[in-house]
Amino acid sequence: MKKLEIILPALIIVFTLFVVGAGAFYYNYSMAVMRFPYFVGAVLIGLSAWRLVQAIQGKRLPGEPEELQEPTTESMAEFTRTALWLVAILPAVWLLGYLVGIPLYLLAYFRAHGESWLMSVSLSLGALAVTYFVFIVFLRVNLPVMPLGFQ
Amino acid sequence: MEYFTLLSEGFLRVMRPDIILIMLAAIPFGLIFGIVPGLSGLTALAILLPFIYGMEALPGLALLLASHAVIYTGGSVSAIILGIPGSPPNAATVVDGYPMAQQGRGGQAMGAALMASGLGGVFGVLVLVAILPVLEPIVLSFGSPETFFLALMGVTFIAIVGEGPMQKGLIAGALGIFLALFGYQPTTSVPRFHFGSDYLLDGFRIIPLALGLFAVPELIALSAKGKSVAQTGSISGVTFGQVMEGCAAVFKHWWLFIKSSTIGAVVGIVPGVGGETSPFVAYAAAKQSSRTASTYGQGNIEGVIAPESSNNAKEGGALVPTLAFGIPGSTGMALLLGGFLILGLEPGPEFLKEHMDLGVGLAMVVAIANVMAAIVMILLAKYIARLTYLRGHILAPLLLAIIVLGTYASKNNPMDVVYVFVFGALGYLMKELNYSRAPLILGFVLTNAIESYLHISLRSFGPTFFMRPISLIIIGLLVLGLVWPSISRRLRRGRGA
Amino acid sequence: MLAKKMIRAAFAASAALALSVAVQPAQAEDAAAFYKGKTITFITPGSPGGGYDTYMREIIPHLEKKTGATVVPVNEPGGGHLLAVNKTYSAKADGLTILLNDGEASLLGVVLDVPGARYDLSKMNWIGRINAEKRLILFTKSSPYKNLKDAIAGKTVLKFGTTGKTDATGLATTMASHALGLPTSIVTGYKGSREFVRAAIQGEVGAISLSESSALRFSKGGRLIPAGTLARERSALFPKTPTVFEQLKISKENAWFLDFHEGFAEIGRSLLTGPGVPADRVAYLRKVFKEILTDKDFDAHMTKKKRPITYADATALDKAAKAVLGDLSDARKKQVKEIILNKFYQ
Repeated sequence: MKKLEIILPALIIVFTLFVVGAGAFYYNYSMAVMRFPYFVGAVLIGLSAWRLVQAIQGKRLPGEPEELQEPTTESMAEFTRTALWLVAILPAVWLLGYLVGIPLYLLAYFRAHGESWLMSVSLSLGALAVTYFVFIVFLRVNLPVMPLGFQ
Repeated sequence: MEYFTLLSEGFLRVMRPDIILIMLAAIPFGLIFGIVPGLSGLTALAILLPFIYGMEALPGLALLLASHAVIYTGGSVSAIILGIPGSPPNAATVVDGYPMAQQGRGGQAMGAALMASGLGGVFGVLVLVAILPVLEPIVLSFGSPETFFLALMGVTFIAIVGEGPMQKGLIAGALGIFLALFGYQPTTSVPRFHFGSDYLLDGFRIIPLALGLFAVPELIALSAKGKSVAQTGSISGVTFGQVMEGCAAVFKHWWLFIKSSTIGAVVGIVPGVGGETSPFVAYAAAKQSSRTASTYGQGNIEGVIAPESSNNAKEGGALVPTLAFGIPGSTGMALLLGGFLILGLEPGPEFLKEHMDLGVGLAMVVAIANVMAAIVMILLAKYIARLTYLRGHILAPLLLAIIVLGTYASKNNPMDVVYVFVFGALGYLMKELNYSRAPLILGFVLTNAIESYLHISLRSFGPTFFMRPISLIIIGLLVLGLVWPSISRRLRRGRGA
Repeated sequence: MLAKKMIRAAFAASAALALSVAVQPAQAEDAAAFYKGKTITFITPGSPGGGYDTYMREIIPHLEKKTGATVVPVNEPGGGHLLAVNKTYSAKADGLTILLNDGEASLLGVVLDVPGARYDLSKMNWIGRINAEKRLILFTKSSPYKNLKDAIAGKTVLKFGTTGKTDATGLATTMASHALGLPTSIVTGYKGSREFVRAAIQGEVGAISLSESSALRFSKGGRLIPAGTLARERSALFPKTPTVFEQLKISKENAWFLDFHEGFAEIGRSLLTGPGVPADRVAYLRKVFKEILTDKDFDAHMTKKKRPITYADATALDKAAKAVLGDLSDARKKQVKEIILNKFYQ
């Protein structure tokens, strides 16, 4: 956790510097455009830098739980697996379209997480029905329906 | 006396079988749009708008208004039982509602949220009806300087909204403001920080931001453990008795309810501030003056009542400028105004003179819809809470699918879906490290108003733009809000000694 | 190996040739047959419920009936109304994507080289115009002046409210102020036209410019006073309000800016397809839309909704677009840019 406590404010500082720097030196925005970014950026960097110093010193803030758990290698691996499974829906809908991609993604997810075939298939078919009837037919959402290459 | 005849006439106009039927159809529609994360009031209105072509005026507007008025009633339930705001303004309810659910008090939280929503909606309508005869001077007294100071007051609440260490809350708020600076700069029309991306020309969007921050971390937790929401907390089955207990709590905190609803109605009346702000402001104001402020963020029922009552009250308030000038008080109202024009009506002062009964009728629609929605949800709360018994391995991917579809549907933009995950990563880090996420949303929704209206006020009125009665009152409230905690602490210490 | 490839290529070429020969005759009927059962994407930069959206949705049932296609409405309000143009420009050149365009925004995007404008209007196909509105200058009650003549002679600054530097309100205000010599200072940044109408009614600004239909709606009850129409001819909605040309003596040089502005307004809400669409399909779409937009019943219906139709055909639109973009020398473009972006923001 201590590492993360350092990483987050550091990331915010780098991000802010990058964005403000791009505005000032790359885009050469006028002062009217940059007034707010300069001001807010300075406040944000100041606050984050303060927090960064505290985090490096290992200081705990008032109102925080006594002990933050240090992540173990095991929990890191579990987190990575979980996050990857969730993010996998993006390539699924992108490659296969929303109508096919979402039910197939669900089917794969359920099966990989030990649900029965009956449960997995019926829920996926349910999702297919909801996607089609609710979103496409009733709500007339302009969903990319077909798999990549058939559009 | 004429005024009361008008009221009863307006009421009678709504009591028609076809209008009641339309409302009965519109309310579940609105509630579902509220409950489902990603689908929001705007989407609901955008989808319903084409249906009103060719309808009569009152039924057509009743369809739009009834569904839009109950969105946040539905959204509060997802915020409480899943920790995922059903629509962005419900994010303020997550802060205390979700901890309550995890402590086994989900029933009470839902009861309080639903009762506060229903009554808040009615309160907003009462405010609207009370000022109908004097609408014009009231709306006219809120100009650009007032809008600026109200938004500024919202910013001072960043330190108060949300849970966890204040210093981290400030970082979150500043980050929210910073993220809102992307996209067209309002006074120069320069697309700021667009980095060659068409998506960033318009800046980041609120729906992916709110869902990424709040939903993705919950999905990760659900999916990683594979257990149900109920198992991770200590939820035992939600009973009807618990829900009723929550409802009763609103009456116990009646002063808080009135204060929060008033805040909602006022924020609704001022068009420029943005309706999304009101629940956060109400939450902060409640915490600031509460005797139990230290337990806010850990499941304090006051932290549920305040945002939810203001959330629904602001719809009544937002109707004020819409009817009075054809100037919508919120983005939802802008779409509603579209509905008026589709039906061949042109809101404005002349409109109110000729169609005062229609104005009253619309107010009635909002009030009735709020009451009906609250009753429906109170009866259903027990069953909806059973979602929390679904295994995480089933609930997480299903929710994810709905979020992906809902986010896409909100703007028909696949990039929105991608940004759910980008902000999801940020939300996960923030949650793990005790950074409160509500201030980020608050900062985000206020920035545009502050930047534009500071500029406008300076250009229209010069550096002394604050020398206006209402501006000075707001400044007074703002200063009082800042020094109040230390005053009350000193008072209490004095009393203790 | 090579022989095989060549045979295949020759075969493909002859097949393509045969196909194209088969397609050529009876083009109009083919275009009509092409659209039957297809899905047309109808894009507009307007948000749901707004003017563009209302026009689009009122037209769709007629379009579906006439073509036999399914029409899907798409609202694409991003990027200051330019993303919708980009999308149409880069869509497949099959004539199944139609844009209901914001003429002023799309032309202004070209004149000002706005980032995000990635289209070449001269390559796109005009289909027809749904409506165009003249613009008026209106004074508010708190304005230091009662009419344009006083304002031009006056010393006190006249504050104009606008919604943005690079949109229609900004263009009308800057062009008129420059051409007429008004002592203008612009207050910009209001969220949407309704917000700056609120500001005008409250007296935060002294003047605004509005399209004729908005001007009619908001000037009711004497809240805003129409001071002049920014066009060569009077507005049908304001027959008593004289044009700026009637009220003032305007030099030829200054009149150029007013005509330039009117050229923008002339394009108005018009229909376009992307580049490269087969000519027969473009011709077919022009015919279909002409039939819809010149239909008497439809016209009466839309007039009743206060969304009037002022149809113009593709030739007229092409001419108007060329008038704005074609004669623009580099020096002139630089001058116009300076006036729009800087002159009145000191």
